Amino acid sequence: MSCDSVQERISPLLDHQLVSAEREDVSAHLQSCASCSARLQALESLRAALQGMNQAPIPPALAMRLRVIASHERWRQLSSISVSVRLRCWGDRAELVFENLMRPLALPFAGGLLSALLLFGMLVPNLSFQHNFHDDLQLAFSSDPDGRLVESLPGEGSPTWLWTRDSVRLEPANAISSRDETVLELTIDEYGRVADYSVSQGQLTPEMQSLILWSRFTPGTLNGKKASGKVSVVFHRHHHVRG
Amino acid sequence: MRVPVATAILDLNPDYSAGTELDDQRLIELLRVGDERAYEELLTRFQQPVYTLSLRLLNDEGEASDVVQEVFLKVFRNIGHFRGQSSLKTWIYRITVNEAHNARRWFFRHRRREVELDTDPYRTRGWREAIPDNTRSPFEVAFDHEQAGIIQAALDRINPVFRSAVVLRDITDLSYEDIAEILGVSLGTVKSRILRGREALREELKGDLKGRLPLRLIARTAE
Ligand SMILES: [Zn+2]
Ligand SMILES: [Zn+2]
Repeated sequence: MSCDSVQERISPLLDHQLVSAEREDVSAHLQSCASCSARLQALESLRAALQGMNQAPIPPALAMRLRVIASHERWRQLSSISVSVRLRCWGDRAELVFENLMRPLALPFAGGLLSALLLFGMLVPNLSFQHNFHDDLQLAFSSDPDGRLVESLPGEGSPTWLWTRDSVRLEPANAISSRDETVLELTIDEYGRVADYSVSQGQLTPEMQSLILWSRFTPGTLNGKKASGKVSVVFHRHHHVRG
Repeated sequence: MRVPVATAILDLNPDYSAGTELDDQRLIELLRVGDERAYEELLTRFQQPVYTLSLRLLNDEGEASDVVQEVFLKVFRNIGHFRGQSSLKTWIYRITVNEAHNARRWFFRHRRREVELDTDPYRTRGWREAIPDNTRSPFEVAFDHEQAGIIQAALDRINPVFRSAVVLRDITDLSYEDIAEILGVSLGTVKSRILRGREALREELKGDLKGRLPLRLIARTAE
């Protein structure tokens, strides 16, 4: 075997990519050729040095940002699932505790701060990834969605009474709401859509479900940017035509 | 009293004990239903190798961090479309290589020029500072931080096509088969890219290191 063809095979030799006959030929040549065996040593050293370069620990700030991204993306995922599941299980009896889904990831490290960040990232999807989180946390000027219904969106499967009549509406809940009112806590995403909801008081009817699913609100803000947030609303049925 | 309305999501959330590593299929299913532990597991498994890969391909911590965020965003958003035609691992690395490639193109167009005219950390820093004294063993030297900088700079100068192959093989430690899948090329092509990449690196380092480093990167009796 010529030196050229041996040197072509040193790299695959290092990776155990040669068939045994080839390997034997190359080994035999290496035993007797100083130039080729020096090349082998050079490539072995290079490879060892490269292998040592896999130790570049991820910056902690990046690891944290990834968790904020993850919680935000998970939140999106849940919102899309829950809306479709809800549409399927129309009028089904409520079973599950939404709070469970909102519980921050229980991580063995970094405890409270990270959990707080996770929850924060979950609720505030528009958090700019370009900035330092600590700054963002300190400078978080936020406003909740105002509970004002902006529009009810016509869409496939949405009942027509939503926009043909003025008899049902959602209004911001105040501290004193009467017993017979249904009080809902809505999570409004940054686009003003209802991302999730739970019933704080009263009974949820399919009519109400329909109303909240097809409604759009004024989103809350965080540092002047639209962000998701929670709002309490009451469901009103007006017996008169204009209220 | 609070009557939560939130749906049958947990019905879709099968329980599994934390601590056991999930197989790809299971992990993907759980990501699709928004299982929080699945998100954490995906990050735990891939954040480090994805970061290292990006950093070695880009040679810039800031750029690498941006790429890593972009990669995981794409992974989370597209997990619903992932059809299992490749392994989760090769899919994620393929996204990483592509993102790094895009970032690098952008980087070169917009930023690298000024950076180079100004201060390139690896090139303006004197070689002498970077070179450890000869009392240290080559082994120690090979893993020395500065040594990594030298090799990183050499990686940076070789053809990106070869660089990706060598980094995936020697730094990320993937098989030829996985690399073929990630780069979308044949095994033969992978083999030749790795070979040529290593040779190119050796050449780069030979020029730079001649007579200065104890590391035997230069074939002593060659030439
Ligand atoms: Zn020879
Ligand atoms: Zn969002």
